[in-house]
Amino acid sequence: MNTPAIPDVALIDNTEQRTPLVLVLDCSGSMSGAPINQLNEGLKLLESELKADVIASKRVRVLVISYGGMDAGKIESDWCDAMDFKAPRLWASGTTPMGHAVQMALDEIEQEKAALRHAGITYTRPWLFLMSDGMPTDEWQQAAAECRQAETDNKVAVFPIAVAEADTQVMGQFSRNGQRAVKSLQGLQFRELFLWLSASMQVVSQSVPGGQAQLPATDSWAVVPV
Amino acid sequence: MSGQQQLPWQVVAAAVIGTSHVAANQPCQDAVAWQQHDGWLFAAVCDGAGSAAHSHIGAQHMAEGVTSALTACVAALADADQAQASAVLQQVIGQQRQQLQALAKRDNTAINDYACTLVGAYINADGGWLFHIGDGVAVAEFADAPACISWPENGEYANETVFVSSEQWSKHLRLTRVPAAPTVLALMSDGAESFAMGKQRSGLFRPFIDPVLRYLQGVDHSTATQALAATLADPRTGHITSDDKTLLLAWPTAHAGGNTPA
Repeated sequence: MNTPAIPDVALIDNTEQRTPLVLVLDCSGSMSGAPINQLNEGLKLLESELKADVIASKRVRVLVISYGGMDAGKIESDWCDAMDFKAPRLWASGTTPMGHAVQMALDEIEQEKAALRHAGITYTRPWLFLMSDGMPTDEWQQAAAECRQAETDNKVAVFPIAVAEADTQVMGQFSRNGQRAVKSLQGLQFRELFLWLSASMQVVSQSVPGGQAQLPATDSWAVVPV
Repeated sequence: MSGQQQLPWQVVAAAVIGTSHVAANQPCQDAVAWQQHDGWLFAAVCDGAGSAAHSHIGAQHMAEGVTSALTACVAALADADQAQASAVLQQVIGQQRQQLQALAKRDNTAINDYACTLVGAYINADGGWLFHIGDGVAVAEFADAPACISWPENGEYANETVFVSSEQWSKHLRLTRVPAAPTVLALMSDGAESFAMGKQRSGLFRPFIDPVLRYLQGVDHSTATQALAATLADPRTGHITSDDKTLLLAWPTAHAGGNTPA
């Protein structure tokens, strides 16, 4: 005999839990043309993929910071739940102030955590996704050291993504795992990269204690190290 | 069970596998166990760690072992203060850990492979204690007083907690006094917490629990168990959690009709 479920039971999600995701994206002049267009397409894809997942759309908090122009980091899209996220349109120009942008991201992360704590909302470890296609043009060493320390202190997970001519040795200094943490994007596979990011966020946003998040494989977009 | 009617507590429980474990071809890693002895109810829910290879065995062992070992401690538990109750639980949980360690040694594994959380309660007509290591929730509700709730112990991040297998387990054992016999006792794993607990953190989520209790209190034990399992397996829960979902509900037999509207 197959007993049916109890009638008239409300089954709704009362959990207030968030997974903060910060995208720190290189919009320097060298990203002009195909790269920035592909990046914009990738962001739109991230938006639609996150919105399509019922759990991720409620739990992932997105912040987009671009860096370029006159040595400036800029908040392109302020913290919002994925269901309210609208992919910003990014433009390429200027220099590569990676240090400044990462510093902004680290400050934003700590502020966001404090706001969540204040609101009684639990959260999982924030992700800092750092993408670049070149060499930093600012004083990046201090920011890199702080970013490394933040990751060592378990305050954030750092994912450096190197595009084209990016210096993987420099980008590795932003992660506690060094150069081996850096993934190199195959060509301009931004689409695959953001599909992977969305799939990873779906896993992480509903991860539970003791469950190591099984992230999807990166081989659709990353160059395999030999 | 025909004997159920004579016992002082009515208990209905179910542990249901989550969609992520189905997809990964893993077993349900939650376990639930309870025993009644001499007017006491001993109950426990354990949630095996997703990353530990044999956590479903650890959870089963711990839930059954702790409830069963506690039945032998009735004399020490009656009128125990917090220090005495804690001492009994330290001993009982410590024994179960030793058994898991022996199992790990025999099978050439490590106790961390059996990692699980533990949330439990022992109560009689005068009340008792909630006991807790890690996550999951225990709730004792009363007709005319705020609920006693034992909340999860997480780290900074919601997806980190403490396990019974940890070296520091005894420092993380938390006890909460239940001052009188509750109208309802609920134990749950974190998978069920999202929909069984209310947002206000003051107790169980009424639109969930009220229809559940009304139904369970009006049917026989076997139907009740199957209906609770079917409810925990409702496809709507898949939009809330992909984790295993366990819920144990108990209420005093004498009150069985009291909560049912005429």
